[in-house]
Amino acid sequence: MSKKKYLLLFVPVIMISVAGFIYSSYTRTGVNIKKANAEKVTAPTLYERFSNNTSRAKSDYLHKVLEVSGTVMRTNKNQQEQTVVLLKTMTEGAAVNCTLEEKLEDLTEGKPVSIKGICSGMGEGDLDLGIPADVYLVRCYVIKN
Amino acid sequence: MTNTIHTIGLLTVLLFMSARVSAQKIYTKNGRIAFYSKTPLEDISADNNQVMSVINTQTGEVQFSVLVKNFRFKKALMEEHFNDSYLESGKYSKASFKGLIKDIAKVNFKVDGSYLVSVSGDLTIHGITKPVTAPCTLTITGDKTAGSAKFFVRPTDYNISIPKVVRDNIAETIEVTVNCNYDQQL
Repeated sequence: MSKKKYLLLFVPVIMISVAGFIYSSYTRTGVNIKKANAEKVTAPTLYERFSNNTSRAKSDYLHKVLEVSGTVMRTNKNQQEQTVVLLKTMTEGAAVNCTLEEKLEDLTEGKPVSIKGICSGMGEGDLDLGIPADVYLVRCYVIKN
Repeated sequence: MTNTIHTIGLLTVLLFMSARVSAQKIYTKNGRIAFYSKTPLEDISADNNQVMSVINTQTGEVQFSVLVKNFRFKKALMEEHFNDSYLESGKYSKASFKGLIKDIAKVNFKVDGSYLVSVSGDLTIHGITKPVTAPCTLTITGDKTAGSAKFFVRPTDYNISIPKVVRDNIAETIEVTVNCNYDQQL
């Protein structure tokens, strides 16, 4: 086969590969939380780490997939009808605030639960008003309840 | 016996009413802020359902705070560009608003209904603070208060530079929608 014929064969193959790569990069939807490896931690420990040493906690947990175990303090629905589970911490009024991807109706107050999700860090409270910040977990799934 | 039942009933009503009147600060940690960019090439939207917001129902002081990283896009690549290149969420992790509902006096938190008010304050994004004024609707239903507002921001006002290659994909003015159910009180 002549050089010209090789080129005619390979150029379209390369172009299709590049287009496929760009398309898959553009349309990918992010990490699969259910399948991802997760670091295990309890809700009170996670909250305490962020409260006591935020920069250390950021390097240990921020944007990582965690499996957080704890006790349900309260559940509610957000504006998009997603279930939000608040896990108890040692600080009154503060929670590990988990937004679930799946609808779950049987999570009652006081129930032990393990939730897997991405840690997005500590929000902002208002110390003057006595509102402590929450530590947020997003894209969550309940592992055990 | 009937009198005792009436007295208990009256006390319950009074207790409920006093709880409604005495709540001066209402707040949520799971409010929603969404933005929407529309261009002929592409529509882009993102949601953040981890918004902390507090309203002082007496003075009208209001504040919002969000972790920028919690804005969620349909496509992971958009989310990466938003965080790494445009909003630089590693450096400027939070966005916030502090302001005042000047006409809070016209809202009767004891009477169900929708009240149109005006909010003015300082919006901080990407480390830059600019004044913002927006109409806001407060809806009172029983002991629950919901707030909603819509306003527009220009990325260039907050030193957010959009690379030339995607400039036509992102609107010059972004629509911001706020919805909060104030489900907790102090």
